[in-house]
Amino acid sequence: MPIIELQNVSKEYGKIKVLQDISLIFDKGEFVSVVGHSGAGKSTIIKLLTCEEKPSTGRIIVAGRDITQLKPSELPYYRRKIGVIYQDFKLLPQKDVYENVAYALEVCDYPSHDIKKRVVKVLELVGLSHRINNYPNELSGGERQRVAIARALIHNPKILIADEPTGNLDPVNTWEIMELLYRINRSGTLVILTTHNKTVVDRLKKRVVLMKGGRVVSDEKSGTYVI
Amino acid sequence: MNFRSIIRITKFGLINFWRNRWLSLAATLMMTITLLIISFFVLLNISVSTVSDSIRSRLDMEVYFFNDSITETKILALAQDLKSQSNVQEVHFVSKTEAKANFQNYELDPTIASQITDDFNPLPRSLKIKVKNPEKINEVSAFLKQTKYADIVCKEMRCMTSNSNQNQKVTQKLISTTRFVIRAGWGVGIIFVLVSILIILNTIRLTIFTRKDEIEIMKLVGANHAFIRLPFVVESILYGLLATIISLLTISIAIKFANPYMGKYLKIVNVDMTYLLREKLGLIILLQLTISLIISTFCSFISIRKYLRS
Repeated sequence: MPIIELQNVSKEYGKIKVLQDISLIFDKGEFVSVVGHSGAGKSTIIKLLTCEEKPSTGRIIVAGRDITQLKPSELPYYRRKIGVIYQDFKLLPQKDVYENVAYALEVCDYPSHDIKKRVVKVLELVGLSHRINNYPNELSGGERQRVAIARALIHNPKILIADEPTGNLDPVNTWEIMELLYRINRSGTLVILTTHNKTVVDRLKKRVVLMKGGRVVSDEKSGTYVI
Repeated sequence: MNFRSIIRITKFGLINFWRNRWLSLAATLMMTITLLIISFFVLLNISVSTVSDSIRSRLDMEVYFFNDSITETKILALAQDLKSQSNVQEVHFVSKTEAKANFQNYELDPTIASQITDDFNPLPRSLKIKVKNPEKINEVSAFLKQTKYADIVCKEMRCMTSNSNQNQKVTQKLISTTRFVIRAGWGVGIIFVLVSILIILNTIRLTIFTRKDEIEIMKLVGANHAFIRLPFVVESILYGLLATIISLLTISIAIKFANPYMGKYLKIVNVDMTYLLREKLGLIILLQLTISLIISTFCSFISIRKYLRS
């Protein structure tokens, strides 16, 4: 059952064509790796899915709604329904681990006792219960990414988008994060992962979308990263 | 927006203020300087107005009656006529006895003062006329020059009024100078206020600029514009409140120290700045709070708008 559908999506920055006529369907519960060299257009797809950018042409249907037509006032409500993790973690530096995760619920006006219960639970899930009062600058790269994952998961989203989540991590932390994403996927969440880490993609043995020069060059159900 | 959100936004504002304390301190001090500049001009104008009013109140007129044969009834009748004039505020008859007492009250050589006795008192009787508008003191002079008063205010006596034409020129000059000082004070004050608004706008813009990544993250997490903007506004309001307190304390201390010197150098009038401050404290607090809260709220709204749009 498709949750996300990209229909003939193109994106241009001036005369530079970053994405050209992309059509993709992502189903519920899938684990999709979008791979390619730098400049292939992977991150642009993520930006289109998070509504940070709008496509030049084409439509993007998420859960039956064309997100390219969302009004600015509707964006926060859309973003609360998807979980996103970034290579640079995007944590609030002035907030500790608990506050960073809780913030995603506070903006949705959840009651405090409910927030506390959920945050404690999700931090347990990502193995960060002992770091609850630490600030981002007191954490390792792997721990910061776990906080970002906890924040992305706090709403129990049906879609989790991970934009090169292991790009700044060492091999041990990379596998811990991948293991976590794999577990999240097994619970039925669609995970879209962009990466250029060949080892990670090959070991996952999941769907691989290979991009080159803004186009999809291959889409394998159980593929590997072919350079 | 419900009560829970308001509490959360206020809490975020307070926490952010404390966690970015160096930035908050810089912004608060900038706002304090602004308020001090504005308050300085307001106080300066108030004191110039007080000095000006005090000088104007002394610009009265005296009519002397050197001819002792003029009856007191006639003088009092003239006083009544003068009182009916629109520009006359008060007319006081000074008898020979009162004139002697006044004379002896001056710090004169006692030998000279003792020359005036009840039997020998050459001091003339007079009418002290206080006018409402010193700029129109000429009207009173003109009134006294009427022919019907020729027998009591004789031709020679007309020039004996203390506020003759020569004095009139000095009076006009003094009045126009104080008027210019007050107007110039307001003009310079307004320019300073505008410059200060620009400085505060830039300070708040800078504090928000340093945290533009935070704003971006908040947007990506799904915070709506109000939830992102309002904690910044709360922070800016705190800058304003703290700046008001600091500037009020600074002004009070400065006036306490400066007051004795002001009395020393402004001997012409008695300007008690501590009294003025007490009298106008409510006005100054209201002015500072209004300016600081309006400027800080306005500046934070303007500064954050750019990052919310992008």
